[in-house]
Amino acid sequence: MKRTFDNCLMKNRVELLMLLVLSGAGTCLGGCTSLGPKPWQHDLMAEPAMRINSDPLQAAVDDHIYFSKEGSSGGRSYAGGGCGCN
Amino acid sequence: MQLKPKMSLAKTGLRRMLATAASGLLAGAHANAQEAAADVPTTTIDTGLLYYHENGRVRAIEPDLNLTQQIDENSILTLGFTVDSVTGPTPLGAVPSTLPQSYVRPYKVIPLGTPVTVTTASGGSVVTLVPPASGATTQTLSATRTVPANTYPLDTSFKDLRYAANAGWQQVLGAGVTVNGGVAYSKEHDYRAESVNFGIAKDLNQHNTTLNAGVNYESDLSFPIGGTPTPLTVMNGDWKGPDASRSEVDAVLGLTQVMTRRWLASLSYSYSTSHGYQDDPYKIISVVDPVSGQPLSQLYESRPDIRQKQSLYLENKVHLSHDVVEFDLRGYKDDWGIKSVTADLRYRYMLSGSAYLEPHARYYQQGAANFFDYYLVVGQPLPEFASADTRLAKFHAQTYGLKFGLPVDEGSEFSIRVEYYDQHGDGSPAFAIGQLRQQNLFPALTAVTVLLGYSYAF
Amino acid sequence: MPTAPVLDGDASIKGAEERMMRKTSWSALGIAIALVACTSAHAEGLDLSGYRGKVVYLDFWASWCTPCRRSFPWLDGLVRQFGKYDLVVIGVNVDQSNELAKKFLDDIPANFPIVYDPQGAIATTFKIMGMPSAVLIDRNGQVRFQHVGFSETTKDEYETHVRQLLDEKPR
Repeated sequence: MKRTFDNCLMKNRVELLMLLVLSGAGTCLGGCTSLGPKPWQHDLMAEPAMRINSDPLQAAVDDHIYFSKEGSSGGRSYAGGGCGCN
Repeated sequence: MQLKPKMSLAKTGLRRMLATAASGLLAGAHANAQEAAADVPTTTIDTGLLYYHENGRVRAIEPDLNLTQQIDENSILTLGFTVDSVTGPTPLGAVPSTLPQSYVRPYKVIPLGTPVTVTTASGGSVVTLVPPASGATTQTLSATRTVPANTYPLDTSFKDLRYAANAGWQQVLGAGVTVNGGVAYSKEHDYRAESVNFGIAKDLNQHNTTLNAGVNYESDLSFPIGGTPTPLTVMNGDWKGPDASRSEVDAVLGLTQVMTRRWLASLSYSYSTSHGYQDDPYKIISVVDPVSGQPLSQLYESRPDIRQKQSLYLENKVHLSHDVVEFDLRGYKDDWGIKSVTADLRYRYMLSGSAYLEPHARYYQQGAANFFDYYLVVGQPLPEFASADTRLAKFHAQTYGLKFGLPVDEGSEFSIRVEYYDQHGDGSPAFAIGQLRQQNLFPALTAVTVLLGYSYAF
Repeated sequence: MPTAPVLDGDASIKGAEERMMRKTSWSALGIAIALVACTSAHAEGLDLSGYRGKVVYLDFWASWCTPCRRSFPWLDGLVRQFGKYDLVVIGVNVDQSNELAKKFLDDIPANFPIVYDPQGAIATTFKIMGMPSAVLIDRNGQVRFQHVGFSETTKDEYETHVRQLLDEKPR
C-alpha cells in the first residue's frame, strides 16, 4: 500500500478512534466535577431503559454470538447512571 | 401561597385522630406502612429463549434464566443458568477444490479386539479402524468424510450441548462504594471453563460520575474429541494428544458520567491477557500446489500461546421526549494483529402504554490476524503460526434487528427480538492461484436470531 | 439521650394552638420564595413563616426515587408520633410532572402536605445534594440538619435529630 496520509489514516483507524475518545475523556476528567444535572433532575436516568445495562440477558446472548463468530470480544463494564438515590 | 389553613385543618384532624386513636387504628396504619414498603420489587426473574440459525450451517437453541434477588437494602444476589444446544455444519478451514476432498478425524478409542459394527458416523462419514501400533491394547475409530467437488468444506459432525451457571453478589459499602464478586462455570462435551470476578465502583459528584474497576480470572480446559492435535502436523486418524489448558485475566476500568438530564455516557477500557492452548483443535489449513492450487495435504492449525487484547468502549444513551437512543462505539486491537471497529445504534420508539418497538443496526469491521492465511503453498517455508479460520480473517458484518417489548402486568415484560446478521469477507483474493481463483474462499455467513424474553419482577 | 417533651394534658396543647395563631415573620434565611404558578395551585411557593416556633421536616421526594417509597411510611409515623409536639412534615415534590407525583401518592398516601417544585427552585435554595433529601429546621427557623438519602440504618439517626430539635425551646 502506498504510503500516503490517507492510507496512514485508514491503517490506523482504530488507534485514531481510541485517541479521540480518550482525549475527550481526559478533558472531561479534568473539569467534570460540575458536569451533570442536579440530584432532583435524575428522573429520566431512573427509567429502566436508561440504565447502563438495561437488558443483561440480551447483552450476554449478543456477546456470546459475536464472540463465536468474530475475532474481537467483550470490552464493556456496567456501573453508573441510574436515579442516583441513596 | 399559604399552607397554614390546610395545615391547621390537618392538625386538628390529627389531634382528633390521636385522641381517639386506639391501638386498632395504629395497627391499621402500621400494616399499611408495611404494604407500602413492600411496594418496591425485590425479586426479578428474567427468562429468554434464543433460536439461532446460520444459513446452511450451525443452528442453536438456548434457554436462559436469570434471577436477581434483593437480600437487604445493601445486598443483591444474582444467579444465572443457561443451556445451549448447538448442531450443524461449521467450516473446516480447508479450501474447496475442483476435485472431491476427504477429511479424517478420530472420534473413539475402543479396546483392542472389540468387534466393530461399521455404521455411518454422524454427518455421512465412513468409519475406519486405525491400525493399532504394536503392543497397543486399544485401537482408534476414525471417521472419514468426503466433500464433493466445488463445495466449501464444512464439518458436519458438529453437535454439542453446553451447560453454564453463574452466581454473583453485589454489596453497597457506604460512601458511594459498591463491591461485587461472582463465579461462573461452563461445561460442554469437549471444553470446560471456570471463572471468578471482582469489581468495585465509586460514585462521585452527587451520583453523576461513577468510576469502576473489575477483574476476571478464567481457567479453561480443552479435551477435544479425538485428542489435541500437534499444530502444523498432517491430518490423520490417529488419536491425538492430551487435554490442553488455558488461563486468562481480564481487567476493565470504566467511567460513567451523567452528562445532562437526558444523556448518559460511559467509557470503558479493558485489557486481557491469556496463556495456554489457543488453537481450534478441529480446524485445518490446506497446503496447495503452487501451480494448480489443488490441496495436497491438510495440516492442523497453529496459533500463538499468548494473546493480549485491548479495547475501548463508548456507550451513549439519550432520552428524547419519549424515545431513547443508544449509540455505542468500540475499538479493539490485540497482539495477534487483529484490529476492529464496532458501531451500534438502537432506537427505542415508545408506543402507547409502555410498549415499544426498537430497531437496531450494528456495523462491524475487522482486520486479519497476522498468521491468518487462506491456505499455505508447498515449497514455501512453514510459518510458526497459521490458521485459515475465517473468524480471524479480514471481514465486515452488519446486523439489522427489530425488537418489540410489551409490559404484561405490573412488573413483568414480554419481548421478542428478530435479528439478521450478514458477514462478508473476500472470497476471491487477488493472489489466489490455479483452481483457487474460481473458488469462493470465504462464503458469506448469514444468520437469523430470534430471542423471546419474559421478565417478571415482584 | 434527648426525648420528646412530655406534655401534661390539655393546657399545653392549648398553648401550642396559641403559638400557631401568632404570626411571626421569618428571619435571615430568606425562605419565602414566590414561584410562578405551574399546573396546580400547590406549585406557587413555600412560605414557612407561619411555622416559627415549630420544628419543620422538609422532605424532598420524587415518584422515581425508590427509597422514597420506604421513607413515606416513616414520615407518616413521624407525624403520628410527634405532630402533637409541634413537628411539621412537608413533602416537596420535584417531579417534572405533577401527574407522576399524584400516581405515587395514590399508591403510597402521605398524611402530610405536599408542595410541588417541578422547576427545582426550592431544591436549589436548600442546596439539595441527593435524593431523597430532608432539611430539618428548628423552632427559630434555622436549618440545623441536612439528611441525604434514606435507609434502615439512617432513619434512626434522623429520628434522633427530630427529637433533639423538638426538645429545644424556641428563643
